[in-house]
Amino acid sequence: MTSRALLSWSTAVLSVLLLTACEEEKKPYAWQLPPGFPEPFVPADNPMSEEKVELGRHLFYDERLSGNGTMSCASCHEQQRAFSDAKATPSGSTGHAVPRNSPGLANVAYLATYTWANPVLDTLEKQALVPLFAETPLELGMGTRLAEVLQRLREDARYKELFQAAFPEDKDPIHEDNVVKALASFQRTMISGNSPYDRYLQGDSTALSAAARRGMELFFGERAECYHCHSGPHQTNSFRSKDTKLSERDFQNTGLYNVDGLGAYPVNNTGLFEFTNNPKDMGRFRVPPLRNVSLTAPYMHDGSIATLEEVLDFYMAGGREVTSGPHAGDGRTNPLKNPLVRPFELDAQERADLIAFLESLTDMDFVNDPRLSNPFEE
Amino acid sequence: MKLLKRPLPALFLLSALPLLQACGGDGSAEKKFSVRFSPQVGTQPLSCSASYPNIGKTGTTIELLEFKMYVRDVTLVRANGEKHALKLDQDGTWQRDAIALLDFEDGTGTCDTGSPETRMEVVGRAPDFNDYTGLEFKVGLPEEQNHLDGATAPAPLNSPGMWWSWKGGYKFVRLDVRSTKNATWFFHLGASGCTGSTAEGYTCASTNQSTVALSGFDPEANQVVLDLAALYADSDLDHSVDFKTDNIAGCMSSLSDPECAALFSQVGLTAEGSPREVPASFIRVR
Repeated sequence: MTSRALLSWSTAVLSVLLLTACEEEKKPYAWQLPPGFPEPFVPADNPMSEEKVELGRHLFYDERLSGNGTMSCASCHEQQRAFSDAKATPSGSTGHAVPRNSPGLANVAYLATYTWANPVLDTLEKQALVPLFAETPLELGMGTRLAEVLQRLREDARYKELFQAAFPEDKDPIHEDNVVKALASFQRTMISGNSPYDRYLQGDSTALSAAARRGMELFFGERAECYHCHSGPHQTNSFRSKDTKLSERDFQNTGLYNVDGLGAYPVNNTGLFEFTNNPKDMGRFRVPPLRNVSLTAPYMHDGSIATLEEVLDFYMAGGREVTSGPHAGDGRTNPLKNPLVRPFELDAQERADLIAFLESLTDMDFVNDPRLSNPFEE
Repeated sequence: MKLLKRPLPALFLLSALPLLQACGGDGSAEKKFSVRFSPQVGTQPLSCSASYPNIGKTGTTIELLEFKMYVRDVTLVRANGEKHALKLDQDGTWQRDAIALLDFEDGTGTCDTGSPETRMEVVGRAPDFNDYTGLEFKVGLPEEQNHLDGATAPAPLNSPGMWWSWKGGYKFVRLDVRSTKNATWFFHLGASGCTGSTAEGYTCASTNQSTVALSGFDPEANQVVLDLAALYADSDLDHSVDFKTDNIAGCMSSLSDPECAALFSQVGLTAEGSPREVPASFIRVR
């Protein structure tokens, strides 16, 4: 063997070794997914890592992230309530009234779009900018005092470490882009897949009570007709995983309001119409997923229905008649309502069964998962 | 060494292949075929930005909201009756095994639930004969693949909006239009009367399987017309639902749904969901 050949041979071996070393460093993030859960979609510029998730968890629970240091994401997204807040509508850090209900966050990684009706917020990264930076309504109010918020984080040695570990290639990693990336990464780990219903789907035929099984038949049946919109593994037709090829943009008007007889919703909550200005998009909102729904009361985009029982009343009536006040009008005759929302009857037993099914979507492991808990209370 | 010698004749054959292909048409080589579908209303092309008057028994006006469908086992038939199933391109999005998803809306105009992508053809390989005169395909998914997990199933079996539930399975055809009187008039073809569980499996009272056989179809020259005017000819798209005998404007495939029979006949199903001959109206050759 000539020395040149030897050289190129050893170079080849060396480069293989180097490549292997790199590949080991970039080993894929170890999702801990329940059986039947596909890998979530993750944007190419924000791959998952344990370190980002840990940083995101700290940021999620940190009140220093709000402009005036009074609120964190967790203020409106409490783990014990499946990351909702039991309020009809919350207030922002400076007291601004936020017009829409804080949604639960179970399995948000799988939604195709974010927030109640925005059609273009298609990643958790884009969504995070809304509560962090929006001024009307002002939620966390980080935007108006950005330098100050980042300075607070820089002064904390714990964050120096967490940011460096999460973004090792970034010389000065404490900036808003990385805050957003870490928050999104943490939220992608909010996976809820161990409710009695999940265990039933996984093959445990004893996981559901007889009532819940009867309720499931109603949920997936043509009379109650829940499943046309609350379809798919998380009971919403808004779904995207890593392997999803075709996007779907499905927003629904369910006849909650009809303030002008022509289908109008209250002006601060017009749904998809706010973004498209298309008259037929009035009152159309994204279908919320239903995992842990018994923990996320009150319901609807504006929290205007207090209990699951009343949600059933609402759907059985094919919409809602608001009889007094500024939003009076008969939503049942809203011309823009999805026709699948139409009156149907359930007897008392059937109502109880349907509620039992909705309660079987509650995953107590999720609300008690220490990996999703407040790291400042550890 | 003996073994090494044997492949030589095969190698010669391989090198001769291009020559054979050049001759063409005698079936000794494979060729790529595209079976094209043409969604129409009468003779007009179907679009998300047009209104189509004089539809159905009441002469209503319709606008398209959504139109997708699964087909499978797409097969070319020679003049002598010999059948050759297309070996579908496995493209990772629209086609897998012998199943293909067609998507006739582009997410614009009135089709606002849809995706911008469209798919108007089934693409695959078959022996290169020049006397294909017929086409056969099945509508929808076979029962054994109809109760998969719509989230984890590989494309095109993970199209959101084409999956009802584990129990209900997939929508074989999803065709939603707006009529003068109904904001949405549905035609969702799928299996119905299904019972069971994910653990024990499902059985369906009506699997609603139909096979379309078209004659006079040359894949190079012809297309498969899907004519909504013909599909709806015997339906009343303006009727109001009474919430007693009928819960939904349109057909969701259940046996008790009064609007299904007229549509089923157009896709080759009896009212009970048994196969029958497909009339050359909704699905025909152009």
